[in-house]
Amino acid sequence: MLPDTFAALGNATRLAIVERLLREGEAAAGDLADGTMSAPAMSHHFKVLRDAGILEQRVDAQRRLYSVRPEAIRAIGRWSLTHRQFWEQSLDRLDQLIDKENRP
Amino acid sequence: MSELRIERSYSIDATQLYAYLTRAEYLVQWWGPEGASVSAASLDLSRPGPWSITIETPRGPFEMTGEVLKVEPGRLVEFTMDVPGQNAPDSTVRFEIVPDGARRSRLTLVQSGITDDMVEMGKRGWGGTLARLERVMGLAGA
Repeated sequence: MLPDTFAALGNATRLAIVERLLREGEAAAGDLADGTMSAPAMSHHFKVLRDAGILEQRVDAQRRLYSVRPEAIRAIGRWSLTHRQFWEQSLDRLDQLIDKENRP
Repeated sequence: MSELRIERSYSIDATQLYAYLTRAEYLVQWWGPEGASVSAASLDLSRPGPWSITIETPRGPFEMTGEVLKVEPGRLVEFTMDVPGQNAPDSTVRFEIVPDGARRSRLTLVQSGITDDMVEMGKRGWGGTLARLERVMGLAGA
């Protein structure tokens, strides 16, 4: 799941879409087009972002509205580790390993 | 420069704890964050010299290397740690072990030479992207 998230964001156009939706909230597909890209190309980017679980879509009358799923962004945050988190988590795992191997 | 210090207590004696902290067959089982796995290692911390490890994460592999500087069996290991491709100087990590009764020992981990505690180890290759996302998320949450 997370590799899909990162693969989907590893594209400047898609990252720009996500950044804009995070900043401004839900928006219609048409409003997110920057005018330089064809409609099929844009809809491909929306599909990749939806398939990766980053965006959700709802239909309002004639418009498709997109927004960012907060869970997707939180999942990314879990992999942004500080030194402290790296060692705390490592030492927790050491504790589990010692428990497992030295259980009477 | 800041220093990171973490203290823990484990239910084994100092000699055993030293083995868990220095021998590759143990290190590969605990080194790295939750959900990570070690894919390659040259990791004998019980003698001075170079070490390296590759940790697989959902974001892709990241490599850490360094050099063991100082070893006192059963008591202390000191080594440098570098994440290649990261714009950060090497930091130094020290494991200190103190016996605490017959079947317990205390571990103090000290990492010095960190320029910023928020230097994020898993961010290699994604630093720019994530920093931007986090900025935007900060704005969105404000």
